[in-house]
Amino acid sequence: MEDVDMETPPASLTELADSSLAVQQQASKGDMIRSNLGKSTLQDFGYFRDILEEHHDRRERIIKVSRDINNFSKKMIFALHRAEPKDYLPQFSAASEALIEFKEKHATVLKLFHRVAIELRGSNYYRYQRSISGAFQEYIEAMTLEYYLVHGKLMPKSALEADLVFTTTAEQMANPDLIIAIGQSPFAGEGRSGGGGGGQRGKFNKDSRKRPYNKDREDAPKRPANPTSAGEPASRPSASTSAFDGSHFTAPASPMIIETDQTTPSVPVPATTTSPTVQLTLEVTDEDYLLGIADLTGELMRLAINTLGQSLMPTLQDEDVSILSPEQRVQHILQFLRDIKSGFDGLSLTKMSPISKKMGVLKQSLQKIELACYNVKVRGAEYPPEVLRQMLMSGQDLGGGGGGGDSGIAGNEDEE
Amino acid sequence: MSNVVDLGFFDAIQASMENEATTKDNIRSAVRELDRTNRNITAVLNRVHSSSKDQVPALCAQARIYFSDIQTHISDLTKLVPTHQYYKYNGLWSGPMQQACFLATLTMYLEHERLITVEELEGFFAVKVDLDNKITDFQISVEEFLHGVVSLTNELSRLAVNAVTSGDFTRPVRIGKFLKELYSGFQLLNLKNDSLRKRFDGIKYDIKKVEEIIYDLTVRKLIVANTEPVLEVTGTGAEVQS
Repeated sequence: MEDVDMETPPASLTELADSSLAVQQQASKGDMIRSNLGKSTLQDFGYFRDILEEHHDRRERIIKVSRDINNFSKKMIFALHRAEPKDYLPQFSAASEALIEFKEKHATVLKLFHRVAIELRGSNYYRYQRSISGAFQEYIEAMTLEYYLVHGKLMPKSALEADLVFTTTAEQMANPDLIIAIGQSPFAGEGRSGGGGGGQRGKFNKDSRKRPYNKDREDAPKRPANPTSAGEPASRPSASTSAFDGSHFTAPASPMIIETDQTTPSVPVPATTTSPTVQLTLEVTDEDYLLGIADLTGELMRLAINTLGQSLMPTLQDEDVSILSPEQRVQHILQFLRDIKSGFDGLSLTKMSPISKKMGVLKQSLQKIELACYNVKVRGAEYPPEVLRQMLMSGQDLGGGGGGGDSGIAGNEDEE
Repeated sequence: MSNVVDLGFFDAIQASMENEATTKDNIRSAVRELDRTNRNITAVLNRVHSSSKDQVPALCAQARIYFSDIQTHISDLTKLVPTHQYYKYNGLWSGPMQQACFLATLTMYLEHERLITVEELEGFFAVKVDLDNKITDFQISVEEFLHGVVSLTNELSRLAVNAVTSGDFTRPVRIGKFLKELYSGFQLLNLKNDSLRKRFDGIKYDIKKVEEIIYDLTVRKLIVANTEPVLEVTGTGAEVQS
């Protein structure tokens, strides 16, 4: 169904503001139906059914991909938590098992986004936005966490979007399975991903689901070894490389898919260099970005508590001078969170906005870290470090911290 | 250690959110105009329930005058919606648009006693109906049209009651036939569990109501079942259809 619109030059389609011209352009299918309508009520409703069904089917496909992206993004986050602080230094990142896993999952997620970008062209971006925005938020959460761990900064939206530019060949456009297959067997229903530990829900046919991803992985052994290889030209400023500036690609005023016709691509596309490719740009809405960041604060909280726990384990200290001490890292996270919070506080939001709902979570995360720091400071001398650590990790409220969180963290670098 | 977050970026987001709010406000005020005209037409067409059947054409003509206003409001609305962002703001006008579709459908039914065609609907609003799931600029969605048709069944079951009151005993029979045709049309759709589905489920109650009226009339020999009036009706129905 997608190959039909490849014939009309998509670039000119997007430029058309004049509705009558636009109608002419997209004519073929709609006008064909229109000329057949009005003969009998039943026949008309048959056409309406096809129209509605096309829409519902597309939404189902998007939801499937969206779930997969969600799932893989969660695994990306777990991998980041598993990595040691030193793994994020450029000289160690290639050897870290956790970060390699992160990169693998990231590559898969990008392929899933590529696939869904084909469905989300034009107006469809907003039509199915509700189906995909959860996936966006989870992905943003994972990427901003990684960016923070590597750069110690908040990932700008432009850097996120720089990852989401996909060069698509006509073949891929006609058959998105060439990019990445999603579980489509009609009986399995749910499009859960099969890779790794995604099986908790037990709803899906594991075999048929497992194959596409794993096969994909075998087909492209280059990816884990060298993620920025020519296979995916526009898609990967990889995890460890410096942040993609993003300024050289012109971002349009509003988030949507932009199609640019490139008849002879300068980027190498394996095997299909002669066929015309289309550049799809998947944009991130402000709201998804903000919600992703709000979710990020929860992960930062987890990170901070873990780090605080490490600070109580003497064996793990002073192995490398270039890494900040756990105490310094906790302070950095705290500062980061406070900056994010003051950014959010500056926004004027309506009560209805989903962002204001997440603000409460942000505040809680921040207070939890502050309270944990306070407890380490106050009780550090009273308990053996190992016991204190256990208490921290189990999230136990050590009591007495009530409103005293803020005063407690004033200067606890010199603890122990 | 501070300045890890560039606060300027939050300002940019604030600005773009404000822009969006302005667009929404503009669309809302255009939709309010559309809604007002809708209500004018509704007021005119409501009078069918209390008029005799010879007055109906005059009412339809009166309603049609307002439809040119609707065209103006819709074209105003069209200009406010940025290309490719139809669905971003769709929720703001989809209710009044459904109502407008219903009014056009009702007008057409009162004039010709048949379902409006898509081309006629496009003629009413000077906007195309989206038949291939490829909206770039403002169009009427098939869902909006179908919502209008569901509203029509509800209105016609009421009209059947009032037609009997004003002495027109054949209209309920014609309405009953028309509603069954629509119902079998809707049965062709594979509806998801959405608002259209819920409203479709209500059609059968409208049909039931009309069937009860026909039953009452038949039992009292006010119409002769399956003979004269019905035959006469099928005759006119076929003429209109062809």
